[in-house]
Amino acid sequence: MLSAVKSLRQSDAERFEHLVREHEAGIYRVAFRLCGNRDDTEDLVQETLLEAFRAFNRFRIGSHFDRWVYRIMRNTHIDRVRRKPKCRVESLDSNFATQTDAQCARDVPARHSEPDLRLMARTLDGPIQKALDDLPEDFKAVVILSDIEELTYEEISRIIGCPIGTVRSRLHRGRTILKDRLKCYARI
Amino acid sequence: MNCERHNRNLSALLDGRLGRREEARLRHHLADCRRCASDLEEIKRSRDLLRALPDPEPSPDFWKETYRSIRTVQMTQRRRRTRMAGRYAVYTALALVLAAAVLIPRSPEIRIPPIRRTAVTTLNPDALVALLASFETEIPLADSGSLGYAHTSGIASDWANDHQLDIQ
Repeated sequence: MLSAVKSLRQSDAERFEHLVREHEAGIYRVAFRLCGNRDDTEDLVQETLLEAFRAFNRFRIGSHFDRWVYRIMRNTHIDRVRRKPKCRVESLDSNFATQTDAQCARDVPARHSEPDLRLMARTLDGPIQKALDDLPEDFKAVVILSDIEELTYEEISRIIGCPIGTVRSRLHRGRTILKDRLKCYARI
Repeated sequence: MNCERHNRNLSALLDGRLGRREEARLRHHLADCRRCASDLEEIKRSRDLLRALPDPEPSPDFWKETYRSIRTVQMTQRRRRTRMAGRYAVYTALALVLAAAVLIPRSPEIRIPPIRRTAVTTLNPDALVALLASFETEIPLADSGSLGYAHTSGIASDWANDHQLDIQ
């Protein structure tokens, strides 16, 4: 009996590790886009996964493991941002100051006759991440989950824990801010 | 005002989240409004840029360390569970003992008399005669003034008479 329980626990731990291995890239990617730097990203991923492992008995087999981890990650990230006094938490109603075309013109790379989007994104990774970092947390999470992870509104709504209408409006506001920030690059 | 309302729907249009009628209305508006059409294009471009971002590279040993941390947590959880199980067992045993003490009716007290130890000696008749003879004391009889003697072996002489022993 005891050995059966023991093996069940072992298989739980192994199953968890197996699921994490399957979704390593996505988990790290979302964390990185939320944090903007490697140190914070790795702290966030570790904290999230340890939290997820402790709560693994609540994970429903058959549901999406990565979505479940994103929800934990999002909450963990918000807690971390609140704990960190140096982080800037902006009100959703605050006016968002945008860069002028003249300010970002210095960063614009040389024009290509046929710009490769992937190459451009690689080149502009820094400025794009900076624009993401400047988004209010609620907008940022929605934009990352929608535009980087390509999740549906329904999935985002479950992860964030808000109605679909809120996801839709936050996504639009986040994208509008990003568009203004990246205007000079997007025109290339 | 009309433009503002349409502009709010640009993201939803991009994601295919508008109803047929709403989409038709917005597309009609976009044909006439250069500002909204330009916004739609820019939003689309920035979204495409986000989608094309390269995957960030973790530190070389990051995942190895992460899995090690998970296994450590697992070990800690197991140890804690075992400790808790032991603690619960002790608490349960104590609770049972207490419950038994309170709930089981007391039986009347039984007194056990103390055990009396008696020394048993065996005497053979010859030794007894010798003992009784040693009790004999010669006491002068005051009343007679004579030098008569009386046997005053007391209890010993009574005991000897009872047992038909001849004591002289």
